[in-house]
Amino acid sequence: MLLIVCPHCGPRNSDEFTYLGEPRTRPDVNDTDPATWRRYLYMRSNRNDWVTERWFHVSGCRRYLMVQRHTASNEIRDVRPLGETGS
Amino acid sequence: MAELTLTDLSSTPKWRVFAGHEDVRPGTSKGSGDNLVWSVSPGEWTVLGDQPDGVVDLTHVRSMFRLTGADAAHLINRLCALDLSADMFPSGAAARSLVAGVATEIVRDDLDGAPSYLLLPSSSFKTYMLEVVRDAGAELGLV
Amino acid sequence: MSPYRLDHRPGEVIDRARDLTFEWNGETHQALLGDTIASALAASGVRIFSRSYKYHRPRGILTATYHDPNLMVQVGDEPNVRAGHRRVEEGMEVDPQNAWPSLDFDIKASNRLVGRFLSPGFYYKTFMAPRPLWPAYQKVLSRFANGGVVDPETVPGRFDHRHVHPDVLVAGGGPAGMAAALAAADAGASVILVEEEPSLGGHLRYGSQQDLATLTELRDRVEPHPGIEVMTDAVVTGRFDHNWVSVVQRDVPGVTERMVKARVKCLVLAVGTLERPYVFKGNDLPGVMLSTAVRRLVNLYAVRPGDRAVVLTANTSGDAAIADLEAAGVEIAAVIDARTGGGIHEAAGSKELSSVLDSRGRRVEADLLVTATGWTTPTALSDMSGGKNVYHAESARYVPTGLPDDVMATGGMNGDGSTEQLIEHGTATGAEAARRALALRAVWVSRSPTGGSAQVTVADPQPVPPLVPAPHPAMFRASTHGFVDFSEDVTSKDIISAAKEGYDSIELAKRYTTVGMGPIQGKLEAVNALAIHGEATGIGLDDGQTTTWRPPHSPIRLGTLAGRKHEPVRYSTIQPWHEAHGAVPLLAGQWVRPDHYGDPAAEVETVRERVGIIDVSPIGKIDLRGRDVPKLLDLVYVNRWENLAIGKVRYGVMCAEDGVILDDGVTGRLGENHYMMSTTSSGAATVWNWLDEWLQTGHPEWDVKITAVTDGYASINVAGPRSRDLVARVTDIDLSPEAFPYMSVRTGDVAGVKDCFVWRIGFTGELSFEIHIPSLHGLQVWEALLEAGSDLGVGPFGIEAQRILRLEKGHFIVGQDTDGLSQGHGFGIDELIKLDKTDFAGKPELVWQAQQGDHPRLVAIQPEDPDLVPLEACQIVGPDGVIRGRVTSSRQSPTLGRSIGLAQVEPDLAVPGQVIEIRLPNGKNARARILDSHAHFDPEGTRARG
Repeated sequence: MLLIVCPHCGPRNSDEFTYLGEPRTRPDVNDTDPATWRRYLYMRSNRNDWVTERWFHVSGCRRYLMVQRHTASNEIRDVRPLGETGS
Repeated sequence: MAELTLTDLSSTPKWRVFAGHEDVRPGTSKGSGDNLVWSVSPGEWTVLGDQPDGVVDLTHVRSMFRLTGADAAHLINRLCALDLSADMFPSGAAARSLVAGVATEIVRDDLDGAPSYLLLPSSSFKTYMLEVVRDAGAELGLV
Repeated sequence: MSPYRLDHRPGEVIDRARDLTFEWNGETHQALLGDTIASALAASGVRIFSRSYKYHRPRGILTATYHDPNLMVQVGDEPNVRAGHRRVEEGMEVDPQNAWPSLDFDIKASNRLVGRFLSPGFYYKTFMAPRPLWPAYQKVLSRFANGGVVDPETVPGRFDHRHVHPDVLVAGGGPAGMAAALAAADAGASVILVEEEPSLGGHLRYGSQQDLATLTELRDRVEPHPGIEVMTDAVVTGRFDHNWVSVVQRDVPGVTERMVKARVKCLVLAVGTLERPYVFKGNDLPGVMLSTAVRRLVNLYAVRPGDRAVVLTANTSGDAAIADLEAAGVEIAAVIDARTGGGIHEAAGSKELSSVLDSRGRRVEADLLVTATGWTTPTALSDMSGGKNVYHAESARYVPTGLPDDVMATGGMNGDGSTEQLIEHGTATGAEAARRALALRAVWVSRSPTGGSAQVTVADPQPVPPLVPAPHPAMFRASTHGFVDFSEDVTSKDIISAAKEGYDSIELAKRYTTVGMGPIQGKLEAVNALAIHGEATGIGLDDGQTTTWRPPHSPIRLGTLAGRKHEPVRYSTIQPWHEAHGAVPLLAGQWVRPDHYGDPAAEVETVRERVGIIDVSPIGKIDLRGRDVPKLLDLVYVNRWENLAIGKVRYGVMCAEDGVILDDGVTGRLGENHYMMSTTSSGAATVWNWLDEWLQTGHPEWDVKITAVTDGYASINVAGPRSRDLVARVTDIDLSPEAFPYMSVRTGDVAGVKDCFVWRIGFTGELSFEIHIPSLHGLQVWEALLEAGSDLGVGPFGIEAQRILRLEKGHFIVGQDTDGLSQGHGFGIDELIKLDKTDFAGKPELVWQAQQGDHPRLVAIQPEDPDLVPLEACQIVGPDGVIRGRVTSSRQSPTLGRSIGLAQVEPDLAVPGQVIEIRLPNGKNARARILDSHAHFDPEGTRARG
């Protein structure tokens, strides 16, 4: 059970969150082709590294968050609200 | 040691507002008893009591129980993973978390020095929530 | 008095004033309060406790602890009880496991004579082929397997979960663990101290007078300390991500077992060491015991473990055992000191030990052979923490290294020392653990909403100088072969032959021989297995090959994992009426709903002929406020929303980004900037999240406030030709067709309840009014409707009647008539999908779907045989037997007096009048005709619009 320090709620167990994976850029719906669109739908990089992911605190503040997590160690080094940038 | 008690306050008027309480940050509350406002999410507040300029009436949306007593936190932690220790969740703290698998708002509002928590699950879970709280509280002398 | 019970011992844990009686193997035995099953039986002179797994060899006490592989017994209807740990209770019925027909004469022991068939890989090699013989093989094998008997009628236990957030959790209550707990608590940390035995003390409990005095002093400080919660008879079973630690409490009043889930800021491992068995010929004979087993029996339970002993010692524990045995009146026949070159060749005896042959060829008669040949570090928890084990050759054991900052090790796990040195190290570790934990706590508090967001600087962790493991001869196997794994009956020969067969990785050899895979899970046998495997492969213990420890470290009951029964269920506020009126409940998602009240066909007739009411409270309701709501609606629905007038409702369908139908429902406009969205009951949460996702991740600048209000309204659909008459009797809202047309919404009082809203829609195909009442008053309105309409023939209807009614009308249900591949087109809503809208979820997929056009079509079907109701999910097949579609909904229609259905079919079959073949479960085909439209009844829809 991961511990995610929600910027609104404080430290919470990961079962309060849903995981949405790495954010993807949505192609222009009026100017796309099946290959591009389906890459957006289904393909993830799945790197063994630090990744920035989107988590939704569904059973807490119901905010979408950006989480920096290392996929090998599960270490989490940064959690912030969407749209907020920083280190 | 304060007796562990559970009171059903479900019919208390509760309103959702989207402005006017910017001093109450998410995860905190202001006031006490029937005069309470809290937030568990940015830009949203729940206010107890009738609100002439209230926006969404939550009276019927959420049930509300008050659990009071020295063992109240122990009981909640049978059902919920929230850290309720004094420095993490003092009186005046508010949260939305999972209680026995149900997303529930929890507000700590001590009464006369006794630890006391408001629990607000969605009202369709009322029967279930009463059942699991009483089941978990049986060993702790919940009345 | 039991023959082997000693006079008072200073550290004894038995209460001589409390006699207990229990049964073992059908015979009555005596015990004292505090006795384990094993100690009580040993006091009676019992030597054989079990028969081994494969060869059915007699087995006796080896470790006298929870981890004794030979002490698995059946207690009542509970199998696999650890007799070295479980306390005797009055009247307990204890039976041996895996011994048929009896412990003394075990017919399967003849396996020993055919041992060559049970070589490593025996199962794989012997029972591979021929496959048809598998059932016969299984029967044979299951007779030989151990594991006790489970009574399927066993009354379920009571299991509990508890969440805790200690600053420091100490695993192990020996001297170092107690000292660590004290130091951490004195530094202001909240501490949980977990000890597997029923009382604190570790090895001090069965130690010298000095040890006992130290123990008393420590315990007297630990137990009353307000900062320490002591959990005895409890074990840390796992350490997971971010110091999530599971503890199983075995002996707590009122519950069978409790799982404690701890979020620990600093975990201190003080689990000590386990004494390692020695491998030699006859090492599994009853009477061969570890030195710590003997010391526990003598000092904790006042039991004399034998009459005449040989002691093989390589350390101070063996020396102490000699002293304890002498004090217990056991004759020491021989001491073999491995430190001065002594060794052992074999233990001999038929059912029990009778003599010992040492490495110099001397044979000594004895009924007890005590071995003290080394220590194993139980590294499970350090492994789970990410630590690596380094072999310390001088002490012949592994020590954990590379622990993360939030896990520390102390005591025997870390090294050796005098009791004072262990306590000193525990104290230093506990103080540092508290320092790290309190720093982390300060960080978490500062990041909690009430914490004030102060910047907290955390000092670097300070290492605690480690204890050094004491030198010890490396002893794993004598010159002879013996058992390595007592649970699985794996010998040193088996491991060597596996290595020779090519299993040169210990991970492979382990699985091939099953060494370490029995109930003890390698705790006793792993290091011996590695060493002996290394004899054949040349891989040294310091070459880094070890097996991997995974949770749980100790067995957990399935009930403990499950905990209390937490399956949330939801009820409408009208549920008491349904229950009182014989409703048959249906669990739909989390909602308990009335399926019907006895006769669904009659309920359908009520709606078609007169007027019915149904409780549809679980319908999802989402309150939307703000100027930009139409933009959001336009984005999530496939149809157009910007021109919805106040007081109107509109049906909409949502698709996901892959174009698959996600949900449907109506949304009404209640005010200038106020909308109410309805969703399917099962889709309410999904849609709520879906709206938030679009808003937060796509358009945070839009003015939209979303509040889920499903539970805030009890919802009653009043349907039937007399519904207008009925509703008019309980409301002042003008219901005339002119004032309140089809697909409109009105607000007002209903049956004296304020703030209701009503919309005119027609899922059933009849004139209907869906009334949404502030939920605390739902029952009041329900009863008012029934009372007001008694002369109109009003009656309640349930989910089943509603399903029939909607099927007669051909309305599809998302998830029933659509599936995970159903993109928007083909379900009768094609004209709803506005591909010329700038943007909406799933648009590109729907564009391509329309262009391609080869998607399945939903069609209404009627079997030629009007009495045949094909099962839902029956396939539709072509003349060549190829699947061309499937039946998605199927019912007998009371209104039409015939069977009706909906089906997904390939596009070329979707022709009105086309006859299709449905493959029935009995293998026969049934013919059915495709209708002109989805509606079996009232295709023009005049009834709903009246």
